[in-house]
Amino acid sequence: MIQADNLHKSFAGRPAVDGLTFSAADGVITGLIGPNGSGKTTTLRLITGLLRPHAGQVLVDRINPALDPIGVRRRIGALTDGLGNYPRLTAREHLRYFGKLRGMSTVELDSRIHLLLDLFDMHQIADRRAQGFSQGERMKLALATAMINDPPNILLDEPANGLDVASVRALRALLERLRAAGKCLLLSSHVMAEVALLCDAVIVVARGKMVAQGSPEELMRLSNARSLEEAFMELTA
Amino acid sequence: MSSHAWDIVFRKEVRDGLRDHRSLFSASIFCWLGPLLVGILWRQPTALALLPAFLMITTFTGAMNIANDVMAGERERGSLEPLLMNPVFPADLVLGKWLAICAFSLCSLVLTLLVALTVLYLTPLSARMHPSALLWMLAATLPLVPFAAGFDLLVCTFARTPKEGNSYLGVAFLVPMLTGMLAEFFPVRLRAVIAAVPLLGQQRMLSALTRGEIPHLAWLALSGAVVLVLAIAAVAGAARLLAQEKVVFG
Repeated sequence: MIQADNLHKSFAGRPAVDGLTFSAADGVITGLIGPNGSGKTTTLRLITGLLRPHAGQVLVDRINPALDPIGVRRRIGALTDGLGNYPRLTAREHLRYFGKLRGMSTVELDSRIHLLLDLFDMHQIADRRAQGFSQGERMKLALATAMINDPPNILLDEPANGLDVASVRALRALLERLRAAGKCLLLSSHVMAEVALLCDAVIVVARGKMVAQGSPEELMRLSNARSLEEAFMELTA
Repeated sequence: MSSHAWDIVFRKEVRDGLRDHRSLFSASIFCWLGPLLVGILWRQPTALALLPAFLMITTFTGAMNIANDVMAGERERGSLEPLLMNPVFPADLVLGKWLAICAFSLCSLVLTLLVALTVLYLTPLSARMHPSALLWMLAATLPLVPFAAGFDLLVCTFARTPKEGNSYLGVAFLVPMLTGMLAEFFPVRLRAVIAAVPLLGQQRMLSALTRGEIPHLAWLALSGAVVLVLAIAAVAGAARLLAQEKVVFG
């Protein structure tokens, strides 16, 4: 479970996150949506402890990342906007590297890697070096890496970017399965149809502040809109 | 778990670095170029005086490419953030990377000495310097390996891209080169206080070895200890920097 309480973060005096309060429960897919520069990525970085808030706090399973970033990172798998990988390592080597850094044993890793390669249909690229991977292949690798140790909390920043139709469907099915398994999923996306289809709760942010929170239906009702996209435009105007 | 993270990072960086054939080739040029030049100039009475500078330079050039790749390259590829999101202390990451850089720098030094050994056997230079002096040279230059690795690592921590890293390293490269060359032109007498000056101490000892003089063991230990302390300080500095938001996202 992720709870943010009155979070503040500024860069060079300009507030990026300005008093954000929300919670993302276990067994729920929570959408974090907002226009470009609204503070979504900063919020995700505050949750992982890579950034420290100037005021307020985040709790991940009751652990404060500002005080115990290592403890929080053990309980989080995150896909942020950078899909960086190592061009000279294969996809399998990437998964093994990050799995080991997350304290997994070789036996555990072998079965988990096999499962993830299955899930993301990556067997064909498993032993290919990452150099020359397409955007979709890089995204699949980053997703699999984020989920390597089956963490209880998963943060995903634009996870469908660059994926083909089949992969988007596989990702959707995976997220639904993770929700059923009781994981806390925080999803940031610009694709409103995706958010409406997947998310049980949506947090709308603009200029670093939360402007609305509720289910997609509640947000549509609140803004008198026929679609989440319309509601989003109305709420963030 | 995190107590072994440095080992995981070290193994990954070594494997990754060994696959970077272009960088390996460019770094190896310095390993044979220096001793080869000494061999070509064997008729000159000062031919062996070139060796100290090249031995010092090779520890830095062996470290340069990999240091740039594991720090500035990591940032440019966008892989630094996913790496830092693992439950690993920045100090462990830096330690693993530093050890990998040390491994490449050490290989570079050993390769240079092996080429120098070949040159000694193939030319009459072995009459002027016994090949066993190369073992003493290894002992004198060895502490420069962690120093060069730490120095290059720290320099590259400031760089956002390998291109930027290369420009910093180009300037940093002048330090061992100029120390090696200037100390040969303006020789200062080797004594304890000179042995304690990083690079200059090593240069004077290496220079003494080319003349068949064995440096005092205490000076050897002193010069090694000084650069080792500086190496540890550089690694600690890089770890500190990597824990800062400005450095990671700046």
